[in-house]
Amino acid sequence: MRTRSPHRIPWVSLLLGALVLSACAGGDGAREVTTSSEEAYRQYEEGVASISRFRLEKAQDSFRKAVELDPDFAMAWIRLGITARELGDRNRTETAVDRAYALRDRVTELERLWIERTHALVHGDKEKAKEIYAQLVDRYGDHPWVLRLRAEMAKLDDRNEEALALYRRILEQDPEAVDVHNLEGYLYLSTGQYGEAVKALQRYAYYAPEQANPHDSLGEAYLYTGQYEEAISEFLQALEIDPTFLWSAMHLADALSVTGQFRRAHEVLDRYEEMFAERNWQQFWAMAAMRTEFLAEKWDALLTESERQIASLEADKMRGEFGLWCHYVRTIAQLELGRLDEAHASLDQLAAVAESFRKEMSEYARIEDIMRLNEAFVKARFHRAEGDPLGGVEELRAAIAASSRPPHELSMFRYELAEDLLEANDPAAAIDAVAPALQAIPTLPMMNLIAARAYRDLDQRDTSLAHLQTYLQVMRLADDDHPRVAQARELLSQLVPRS
Amino acid sequence: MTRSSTTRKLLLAWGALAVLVAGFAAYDATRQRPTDGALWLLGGEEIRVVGIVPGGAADIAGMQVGDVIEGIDYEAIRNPRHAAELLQSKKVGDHVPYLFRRGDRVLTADLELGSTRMTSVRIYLVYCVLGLIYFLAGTHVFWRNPMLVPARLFYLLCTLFLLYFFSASERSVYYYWSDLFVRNIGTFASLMVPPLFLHFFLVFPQRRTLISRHRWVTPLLYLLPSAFYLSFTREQFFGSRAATIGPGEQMALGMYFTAGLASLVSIYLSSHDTTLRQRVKFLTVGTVLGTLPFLVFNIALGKLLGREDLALLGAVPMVLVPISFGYTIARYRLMDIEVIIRRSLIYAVLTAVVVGAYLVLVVVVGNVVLDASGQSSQLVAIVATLLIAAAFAPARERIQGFLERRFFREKHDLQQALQDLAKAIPHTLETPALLELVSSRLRALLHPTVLHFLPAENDDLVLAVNGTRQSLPHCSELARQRGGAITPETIGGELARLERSGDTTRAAQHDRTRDEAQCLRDHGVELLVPAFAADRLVGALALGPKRSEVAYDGAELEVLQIVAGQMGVQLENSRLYREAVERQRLEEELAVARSIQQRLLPSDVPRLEGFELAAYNEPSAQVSGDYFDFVDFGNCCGLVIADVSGKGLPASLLASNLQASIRALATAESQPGSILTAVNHSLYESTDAERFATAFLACLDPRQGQLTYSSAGHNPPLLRRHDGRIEWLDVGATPLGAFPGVEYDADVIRLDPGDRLVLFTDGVTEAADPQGEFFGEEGLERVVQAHPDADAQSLLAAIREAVEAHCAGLGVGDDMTLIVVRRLTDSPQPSTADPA
Repeated sequence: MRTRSPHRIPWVSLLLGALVLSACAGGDGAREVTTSSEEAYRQYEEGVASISRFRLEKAQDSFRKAVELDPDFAMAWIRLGITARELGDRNRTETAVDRAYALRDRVTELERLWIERTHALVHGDKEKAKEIYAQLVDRYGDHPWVLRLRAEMAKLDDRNEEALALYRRILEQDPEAVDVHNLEGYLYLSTGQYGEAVKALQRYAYYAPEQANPHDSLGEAYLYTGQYEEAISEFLQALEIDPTFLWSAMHLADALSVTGQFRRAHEVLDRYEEMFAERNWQQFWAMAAMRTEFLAEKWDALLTESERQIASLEADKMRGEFGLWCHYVRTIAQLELGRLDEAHASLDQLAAVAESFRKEMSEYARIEDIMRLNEAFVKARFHRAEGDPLGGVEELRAAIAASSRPPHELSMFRYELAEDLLEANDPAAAIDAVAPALQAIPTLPMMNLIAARAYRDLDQRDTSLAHLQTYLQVMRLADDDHPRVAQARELLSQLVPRS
Repeated sequence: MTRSSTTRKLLLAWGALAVLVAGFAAYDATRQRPTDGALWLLGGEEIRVVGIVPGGAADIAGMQVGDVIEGIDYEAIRNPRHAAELLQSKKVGDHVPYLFRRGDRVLTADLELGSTRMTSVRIYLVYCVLGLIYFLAGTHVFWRNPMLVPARLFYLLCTLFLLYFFSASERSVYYYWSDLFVRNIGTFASLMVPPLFLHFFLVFPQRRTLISRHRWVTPLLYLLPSAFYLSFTREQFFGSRAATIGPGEQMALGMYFTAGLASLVSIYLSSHDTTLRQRVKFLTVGTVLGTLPFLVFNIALGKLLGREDLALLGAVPMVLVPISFGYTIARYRLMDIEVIIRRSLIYAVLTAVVVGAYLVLVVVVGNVVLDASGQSSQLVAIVATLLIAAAFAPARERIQGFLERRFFREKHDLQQALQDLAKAIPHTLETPALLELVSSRLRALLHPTVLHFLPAENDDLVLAVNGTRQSLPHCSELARQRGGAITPETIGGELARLERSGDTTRAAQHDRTRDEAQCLRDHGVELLVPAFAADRLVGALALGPKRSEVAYDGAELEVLQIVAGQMGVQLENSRLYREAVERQRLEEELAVARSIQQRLLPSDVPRLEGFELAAYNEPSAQVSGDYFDFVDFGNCCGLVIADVSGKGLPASLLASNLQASIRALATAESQPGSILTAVNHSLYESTDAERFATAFLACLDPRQGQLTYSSAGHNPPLLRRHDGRIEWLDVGATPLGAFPGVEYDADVIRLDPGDRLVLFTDGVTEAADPQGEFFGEEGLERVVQAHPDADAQSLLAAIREAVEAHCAGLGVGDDMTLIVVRRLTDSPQPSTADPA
């Protein structure tokens, strides 16, 4: 399963989750779906297998063949609809799900409930979806499909221990359900249990060696835990297995960017841009590209791209989490470029988009958590830009303290906090701000650089040098013109004067 | 089939099964099978590595003990059996990716499957050799003495050691069913060896009181290890962790070994039996030195502290246990076992070594001599060599003799025993001591299940065992005919011979011989070795089969016959000696008795007017209690004739007592009946019931010619009236001293002139002729009638002559006592007016 990154919108997560759940639900070999055609069933099975390998187009073809062979194959229609949704074809999604819904009286009760719930979700009837979910849990609580669903719901509600217990039950029932290791790994990542996450995803990579996704997932775990070389290696391995596995291309660009290899990151994005477009994944590509520009501090390019994406979204009347994120990026780019007035105007737009999104996703605590952090982050930037670095510190500090996000997700906010504090000549507070992040992920490059600066200001040369060395070690392959690397070298020359 | 026989066969079957299982374990351990070289045991769902085969795939891949295997060949392992199935589908040389957990880390490795499944082939080979040595030692002991409980236990112990050593190498039990089977066998053996070890040393070298008195101790010994095994088995199938013998259980098993050693050592230290101490000394040292390292290195350090690499240090010294048993068996015939290895490889090799060394010595010395002398002639060389060979021959013979003594132990023992007995028997004159001496020596030498001495009574052997008393005339006759040992074959041959004859008399003889043989068999006797003294059968040694169940061989039969011969002579000597002593004692007693008896008899016959008296006493060879007496009653003369029961001195003393009583009473009492009544009372009170006396007491009044008499069961006297009529003075009553409170009556008769009265004892009437015919009252009457005019003395002489004539020179055989009273014809007639 392709689990959400913090920047992905919830409905993508939900539908993708449902997609994979459906795929894995039929993957145990037992014929639990209703069809009169053996060949249709075989196509259905192939489609399920393709989903588990994240080959959505291939899966869509298989489900399409399945419903051609047996037009009354309700679960194949459901799969087809969800796959279409994942591929961005909203109309086909509704058509397929409605077709399945019409066939709901010809299937087993479990299938019926499953179809009805998906139908409710697609048509935005969350209450009904909740009601059907309760029936599913009540009647089929231990069924593998429902166990997965229960785990997903528990995860969304931050009931992580319950989700983990449910994953274990699924594995006990079916050790071959290797994708559960993936779910488990991401759950651990989201709770900051990095060791467990790496172990779970190592298992996933071992049990599904022919798939790209396990290596991608493991690479992500390495990326978030500061093991950048391992991460790059896993992403490359995933792309070797499946050169069309765009998630890995995106993550590879991220890993290269984090380590200052912006040129290589751009090469990767350029190489895969067409493929993203073919798959209608431009948003994901744009998100990766903007993250690269953000880290490279290429504010002009970032502003241009964010505005382009905002304009495109407005045209399609689609905002969502991606739209909100673009607004944040644009505002920050404007601030960094010194365009305060524009930034203020952007901030107003941002507030309106955020308000809308907040209403839409109000039930998800995680979304609120991230929005609060982003808002504090932007405000702090405004204060710093206006010469009042301490102005946004308290709100940002409070947002960080209140957040339940794992250390790797909070690192950007802690960096901003530390930067503000350092600018306000409070290196000790800056060190306190980055300490939790460095404790969890000692190789975070930006954290080490700011810690080195703070310790220098405190005249703790050795500690400063140690952090600096860590930073430079991580960034040893960084582009020559990387501004922060240059800053680090400057700092090094201050600490260790050349004789 | 007897119970023992069934048990023996079952034990043999168990041994055969153990060999098969051990062979299978060894074969299976060396089979080429794909293996990852990681050992994981039974129990639970987790595959935890408990051992790494050095140089195996897991070792090369860096896997370590404690790692937990999670995936094999990209598959999640559900349980160890699943893992085994995956591996079984592979081939040696296949590359298989593993996923395993080490502490907090998850690792992957690519393993190239190998075929080495043992941690150390070298150690396994050592274990196999050890197991075989144990098995051979145990089988030999059992084979030689299958009926002996310690031998059976030792055999069982050794078979378990065989299984333990052959199944000792750790192996992953989930690879193949054979691994599971072998490991379970190994675990069973390792759990059962310690209690059996203790059990064995509780009955060997001698049965301990604890196990003799409390029958529950034996099953209790096996209770705990059985519980361990049940727990182990349960863990295999239902447990959540690897099924192994835990530290607590290992400690308990170690305690069994320690207790077994303590029992052995305590017997050795506390026994006052020097023979026993000598026998078990080497055994104790060997067992302690062999077992202690096992306890230290295998159990304490190996199992409890995890230093399994030291296992070999503990295992190798274990060989001392069977070696010490082997040595003790060979040296002291432990557990009644003879080591007959005259044809064995060891003897042959040692003999060859001696001969070879001898030849080398001869050649070397010969060359040295020839070189020194400068001789080069072949003839001289040959002669010199022969001379040197002759010179060294005694040394070679001496060494060979040493080997003979070492390896022909049983023969040496027989010769030694024969020499010892030959020395001891002549010094043992007392029969019980002689029987004990021979019995103890033969038991120690041959270990028969049964050993009796059957004495010969009236030339026939008598089996008197456990209340049975069975005369064996036909076996005795057979022994006399053969003059040697009688075996079941001998009796069988005799029975066949009698059967073939078809004679009805012989048929009866056949049946009786068969019955006697059956009687002997019923009492466990298999072999009779007759003991003769100058061709007279004096007894026989009766032996059961040897405990070793080995038949008596020629040398042993020879020894038995020699011993029986010596016994016969010595028993005859003993008998003659006893007879001489008895004779001397009797003669002395007789002399005393005669002296007493002579003193009882009156030296003179009283002279009574008108009467003529004669008396006679002829004692037999064995002095009896006959006596006669004349007692003065004042007015009349008392006539007493009595016969006391028994012979010899006791009878004489009773007669003396009787005489004294009568004489004492005669002073106060003149009525014969009253006197006898009083005497009866006195004798009854003072003597045993079997002591009694018959007596006839009469009071003769010569003036009145009147005889008042009473009898206490005595032979009625004969009265011949002058006109030839015969009267018997039969009063009738019980003998004196036999019954209490008897009242004796008296009769009165008148004796007329010419009447003759003969008082006698049974020695007269019961004198027998050669045909056994008694002289009888008729004989007496004939003699008295034949001499109507004879005076008293003549009549008495005539009676004596007639009796002696009747006996035809054979002797009367009993005392003969007579009193003859004759009333003279010219004796004054009593006055009727004279009141009596």
